[in-house]
Amino acid sequence: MGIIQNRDAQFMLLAGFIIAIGLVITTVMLNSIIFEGNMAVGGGSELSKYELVNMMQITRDEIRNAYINATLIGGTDVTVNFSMQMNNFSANLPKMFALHGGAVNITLDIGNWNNTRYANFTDNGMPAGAANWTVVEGVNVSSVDVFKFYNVTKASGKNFKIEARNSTGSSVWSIEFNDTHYIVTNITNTTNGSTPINPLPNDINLIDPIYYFQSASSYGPVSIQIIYGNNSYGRFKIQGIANGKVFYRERDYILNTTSTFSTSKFKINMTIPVSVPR
Amino acid sequence: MHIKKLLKNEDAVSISIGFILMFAITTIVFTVVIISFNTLSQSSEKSAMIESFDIIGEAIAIKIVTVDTLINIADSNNGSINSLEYEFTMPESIASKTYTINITNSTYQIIFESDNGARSVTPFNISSDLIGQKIYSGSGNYKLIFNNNTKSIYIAEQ
Amino acid sequence: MFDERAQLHTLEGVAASVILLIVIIYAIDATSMTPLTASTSSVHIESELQTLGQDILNTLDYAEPGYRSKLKYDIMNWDGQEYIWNGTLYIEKGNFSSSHNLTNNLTRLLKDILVNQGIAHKVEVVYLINSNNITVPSSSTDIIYAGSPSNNAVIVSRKIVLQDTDIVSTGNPIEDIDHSSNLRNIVEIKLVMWRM
Repeated sequence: MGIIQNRDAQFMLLAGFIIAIGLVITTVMLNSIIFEGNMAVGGGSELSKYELVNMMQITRDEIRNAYINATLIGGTDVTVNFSMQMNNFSANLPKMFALHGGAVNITLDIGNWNNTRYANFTDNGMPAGAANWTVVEGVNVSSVDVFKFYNVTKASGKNFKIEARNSTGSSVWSIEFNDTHYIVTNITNTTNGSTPINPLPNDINLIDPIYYFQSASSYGPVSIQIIYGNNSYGRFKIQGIANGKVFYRERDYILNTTSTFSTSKFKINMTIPVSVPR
Repeated sequence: MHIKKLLKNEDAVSISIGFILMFAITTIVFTVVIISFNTLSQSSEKSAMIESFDIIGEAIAIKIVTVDTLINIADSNNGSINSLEYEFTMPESIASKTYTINITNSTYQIIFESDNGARSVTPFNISSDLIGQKIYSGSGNYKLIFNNNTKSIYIAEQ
Repeated sequence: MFDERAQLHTLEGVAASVILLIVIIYAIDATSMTPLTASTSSVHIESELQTLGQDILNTLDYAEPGYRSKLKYDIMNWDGQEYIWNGTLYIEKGNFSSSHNLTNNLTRLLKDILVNQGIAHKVEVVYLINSNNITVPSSSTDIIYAGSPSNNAVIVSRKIVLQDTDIVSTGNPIEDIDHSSNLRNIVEIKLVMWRM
């Protein structure tokens, strides 16, 4: 009875409980500290690849804009005007990238332009590009006001073909050039002439009725394809309305731009071919 | 039988045995506390290491995938990358222990291992070739390099 | 020194220490071995905001050959004023009675995406200026102002190039830094986002 009713040592037990609670709190904090102390901290931020892609895109767009402006003004200083705008751009672009701690350097190689080495009629303008490709889809044939191929040179013994296909993929109009003549085919598969050509005309204006392109207008929207584009080179320009909007497809040359981008942890040096003017 | 008399009865109480018992119990309790604390802190250390491995592995995987993405972007624009270098750093030791990183090329995994049994695997997915390598911590800084001739990514010491 | 009294006193001490031990062991066992969670959750939020913001800017800056992107149109048509969100529209700062507000492609996207999710945002531009005959980047100018960002704010940016043929509206502070060619300016648009 005495042990149960003994009221001594109450403070000691109470002190024991208080110390226990304090220890619990300390232990929880200590556990977190021990855990954090063993964690390794990684510093620094990751490279933003969007910044790099943005730089590639604005460089490519600026080259195209500078080319269009320089050729529009024309005259004798076309390459000089172009180089002036590109030099200003290359001098000012690094200032904007320096705000983010990146160093940028852009150089341009206009050797193809200076030596009038035209691009192949492949999808990327290089000889190794896709030879058969779609230039534009959904074209309203009667709206096409420019459809020209300039300074065309064809490899001998090879063919070069331009085709219009309807939405099911079957050809509604095509023109094929070989060494001696050109053949125009429309949907009724009759050849509209096998006119001898000697040599291949330098400028081919396919709006001309002798090529019968407008006969494809009754077959709805067409896609314009180039076949065997690797066998020839030159310039082209197509303009019209596709899918309700005006479209522009042009290529004169392929200019190569080499850009370097470096931050404290990352360096890249790449060469991108840019097709001008579009 | 008075309870009080029973409680206050001190016949046959051996003082030395009492002392020994007290001492032995104290030692055992003290040892148990120390060992349990040590074990708990060890397991805390190991889980902290695995957590750190995961974080560092993710950072390296992101860098490898970024390099691969840039290679593909250049390819899709018909361009070529002449040179590409991307540094990555790792801490010298995690929880005062060294570790190894094994970047494999067939299974595309980053495997972290340490002596105390902590292990973590971070997978990644790239389309370019990667030359696998085993790296030991504390032996310097490394960087990812793209080789334009062999069109593959490899890891070199800085 | 050695006497037989206070045995229950000692037992009380032992009992107290056993209770303490049980409490400590239970406490260590009960706390889960996770890192301090507050910081990781804001890392996740930050990377989510970054992806969202970068996607907004990338989408606005898309253009087909021969066309200008929507972002470029917005910058060209900016009149140089600062705008504040008032709950329904972006109205001009300092001119609350005016019905003049900012409605363009950028504000439409920001209203649909960010305002609906309760993400506070600011839009700033940095462009090149001629200072003492050298061209330097300007300081940040606000298009949309929303106060000071929090600690977990995220900035995404996109650069665009303006030509002389891109006519800017009056009041636009982006000037022509190069009169000898068709290049007008290089502009960086920054979108700052943070969760309130």
